[in-house]
Amino acid sequence: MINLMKADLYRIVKTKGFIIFWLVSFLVSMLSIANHEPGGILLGGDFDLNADRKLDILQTAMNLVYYFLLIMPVFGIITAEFSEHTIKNTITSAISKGKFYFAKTLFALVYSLGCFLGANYLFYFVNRAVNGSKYSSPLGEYSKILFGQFPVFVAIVSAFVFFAFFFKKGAAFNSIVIITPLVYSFIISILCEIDGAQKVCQKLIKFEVSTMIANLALGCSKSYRTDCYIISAVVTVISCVLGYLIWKKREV
Amino acid sequence: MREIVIQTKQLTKSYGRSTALDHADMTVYKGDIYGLIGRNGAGKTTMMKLVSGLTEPTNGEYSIFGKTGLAAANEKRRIGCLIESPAFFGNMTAYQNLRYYCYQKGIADRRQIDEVLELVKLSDARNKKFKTFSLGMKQRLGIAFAVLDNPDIVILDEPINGLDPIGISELRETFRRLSHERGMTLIISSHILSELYAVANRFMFIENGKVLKEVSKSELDLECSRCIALGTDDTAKASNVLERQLGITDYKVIDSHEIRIYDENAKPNIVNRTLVQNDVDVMKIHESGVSLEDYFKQLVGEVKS
Repeated sequence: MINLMKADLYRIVKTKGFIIFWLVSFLVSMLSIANHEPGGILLGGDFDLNADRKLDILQTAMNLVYYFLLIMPVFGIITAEFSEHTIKNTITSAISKGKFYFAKTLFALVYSLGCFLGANYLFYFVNRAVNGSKYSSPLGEYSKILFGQFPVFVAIVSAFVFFAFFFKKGAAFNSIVIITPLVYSFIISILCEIDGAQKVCQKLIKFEVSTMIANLALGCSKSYRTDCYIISAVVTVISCVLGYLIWKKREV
Repeated sequence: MREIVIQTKQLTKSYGRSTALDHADMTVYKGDIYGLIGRNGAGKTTMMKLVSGLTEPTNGEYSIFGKTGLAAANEKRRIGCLIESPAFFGNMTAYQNLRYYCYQKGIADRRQIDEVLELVKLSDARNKKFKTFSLGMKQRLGIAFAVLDNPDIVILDEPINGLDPIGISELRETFRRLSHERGMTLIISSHILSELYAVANRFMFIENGKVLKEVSKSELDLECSRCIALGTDDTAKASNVLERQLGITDYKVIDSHEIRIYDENAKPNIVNRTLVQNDVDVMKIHESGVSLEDYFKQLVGEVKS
């Protein structure tokens, strides 16, 4: 399994996805630092982005951009094996089908979350160096907020891994993971128009991915934080278990 | 006794209602160049996928170096495969692709990459991206991948596809070298009979998922070579007459009712007359001998009828 991960690390740094990930995160970070304004992606939601917080904290509230950027490592690590049909090379000689799933899942999680942390800390240190303490928080506070978002990103990457093994084809995987948060927001907007569905709508808004990321960064109640972590844990476990069961039954 | 490296017993693979491989028995001995012959869709690739662990059998079992089940799965490391078309990462060079698999297989000695590239005559294309390769180059890189870690068994599915005549001839030589110099056992599938005949020493004929016949090269030569097939109920007496009266020694008793005469000078009418004159009942006598293609057609025809 370790050998497979080493091999993937050797290969992933040669992909276009690797370059695009770092280029986009670098550009977003640099624009934010230069303009003293947080940059990224938001899908709306129930939070106050004008809160009196420093630039680095406001920037972590817009970390939804990593939802879209982390599609690239998972695509490169898993889906590429299916689209290039190289999976049969691996399974016939290096590793069993079951171990293949575990190695790929583990590597996708470690690598993607490593990229997430790396890109965020890159922003933090450059921002601190360029803009000084007026725009940046102490490292401990920043780390606490970043790691507070960590379970949500573990769930996101786990879901990506599930979709990658489920759809196998790159186009289907990309389409589904890109539109999922958009479809979720669209469903919420429809529900909000229906009389009597307001309560459900409010709940769905609270646990929309962009809202969770922003609230976990900007501050939220302890019970809300716990609920976010429970949802993330459930998504992670279901994605991993279901993905494995489906994968074991599939023909390569 | 020769060591059996791969053996399948009643191996069956079904996809829904269709049976891709039907109770197939196969025995591959150490050092064999084993040819799997069959038409497209006959079940050759399914057989290879099963023994390489790419898919699970519906019924039956297989052993690798005498080990079955989970233990057989551990022996997979001793097998190098090229199943279906060669597949590599298009944006990486030949060297990078093989290096990727070196990491996967835990091969520390990077010199092996250049060695196998040299073996398949791809040294010049070492730094070319895979997506720019011709079909023949892709096939050769696939073979280089299969032999990368000096496996004991190499399974190659249709490796001749897409190669030009010179490429085929070079590949034939490569197979012989792998077998003789490196002591590898090769299992090669093809629907090009003449090419497999040129390299393999044992053959399996397969059609519609069923194994038609498993023969050695000498047996196949016997089956295909020109001869007089003689049907009699007393092969001992007939042999005696053939040797003493006609001076024919180049013959073979196939079973208790059939003798095949390979002597080029033997004439069916003279053989028939001499045997009858010596009180040997001749049930049938005819000239036989078929090309490889006709032989395969006959086998397929027998199963259909």
